[in-house]
Amino acid sequence: MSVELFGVLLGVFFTLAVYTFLYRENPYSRIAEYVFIGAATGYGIAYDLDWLKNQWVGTWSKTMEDSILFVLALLLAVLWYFRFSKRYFFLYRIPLAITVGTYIGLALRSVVFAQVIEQVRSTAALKVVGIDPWTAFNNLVTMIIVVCTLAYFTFTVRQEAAFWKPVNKFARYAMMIGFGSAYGYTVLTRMSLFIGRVQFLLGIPPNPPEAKMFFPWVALVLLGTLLGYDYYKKTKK
Amino acid sequence: MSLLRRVEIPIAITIIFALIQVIPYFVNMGPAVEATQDKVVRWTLIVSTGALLVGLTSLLLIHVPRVTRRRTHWEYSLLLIAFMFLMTIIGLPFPELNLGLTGYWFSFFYNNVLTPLSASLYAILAFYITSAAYRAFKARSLEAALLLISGTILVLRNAPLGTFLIPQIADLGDWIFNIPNMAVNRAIMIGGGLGAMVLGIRVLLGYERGYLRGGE
Repeated sequence: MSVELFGVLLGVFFTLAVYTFLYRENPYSRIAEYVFIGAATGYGIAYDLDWLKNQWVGTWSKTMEDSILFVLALLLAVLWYFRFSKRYFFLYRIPLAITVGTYIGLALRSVVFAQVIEQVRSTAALKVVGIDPWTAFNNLVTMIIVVCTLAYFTFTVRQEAAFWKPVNKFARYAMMIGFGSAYGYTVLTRMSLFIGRVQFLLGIPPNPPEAKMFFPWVALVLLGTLLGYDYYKKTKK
Repeated sequence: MSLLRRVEIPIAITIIFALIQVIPYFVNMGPAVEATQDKVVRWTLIVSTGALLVGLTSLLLIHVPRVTRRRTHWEYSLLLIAFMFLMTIIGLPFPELNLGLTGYWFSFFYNNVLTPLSASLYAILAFYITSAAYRAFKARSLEAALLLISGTILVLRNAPLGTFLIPQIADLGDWIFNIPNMAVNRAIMIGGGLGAMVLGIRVLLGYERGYLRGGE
């Protein structure tokens, strides 16, 4: 068996091993879970090291000043390891503070414009007169939903006055419609991923056609051993 | 040493690094300051790469004792460690040794192990959210009914069979997704943005210290 064929066999095995979890938790699904965590962590580290090397070669090795800064950054990166020491835990706080500080600064820059000002501006800019009735209706619905949903999450004032009740009720209804549609969209996204895996197992192009050959045999082995093991355990009792 | 242990030092570092990003963005300080600002972001990224290696150490601290003491499921832990080191070693950035992200063996394990596993694990959620919906989506109140109806419409809108059987569902599904769903998301985004701003200001003022907790 060539290496490429063995690769396809591995792909078929791991795909089916994940789906055996639908039957119940079993050794195959556990193998898939643990291998995934291990491989994903290894991939992350490899990606990290590659990025570091590219940074050094492409940017930080050009001048002496930059090289010193790069080495300093690496030394600070080592301080993350003091996370595991109770005594020297304070050293771990230094890279953490640098990272949190920078990301808070970046978030404050982007959040103010992208998430607050831009969203408020695009809602306020919606027209309800001088355009076709259907667009005007949609714009009006959008504005009312945005205002009511924001009002629903306003906790700085006590919502005791009579007008809050219909506002909150409408906001709840709108949110339920929104969450329902988000749910429907998520289900279909996952389903399309599942269809992708089925296409792989059936060897439909651009997937390797050899998968179709391995699929029934691997499925039979997994199913047979799982059912056989269950039967053995039952009769042993 | 006791001075270094003081929590005010990391708080001061946080404030300085946050202000480096915030001030030049709102006040025009010239291209030299902006270039320094970008450099600080890239420098911070180098510092933060160490955090992933901490993740590796955490995993080793959990799984190595499991293997050495032959605890329950130790065999799976051994598999995890083996694959973690395998992917790390074959991904080391030495292309002259046929290693690295573009190397043959790294691509082999990426395409035949990591990709099938991640795609299958994400896809298996389809079954669980569907079964959870079957249990949770019961039209006991008007809110629950609206959730159920809009969810069903969007599922039918995106499934080929739904639009084949009821062609009008496409327009209705699009309207729900583009108008009420977008408006709710916009409101939540504004609320989340305001929350993030408040959190950022609290960190800048040194009131938020939760992230520094731990140690002696």
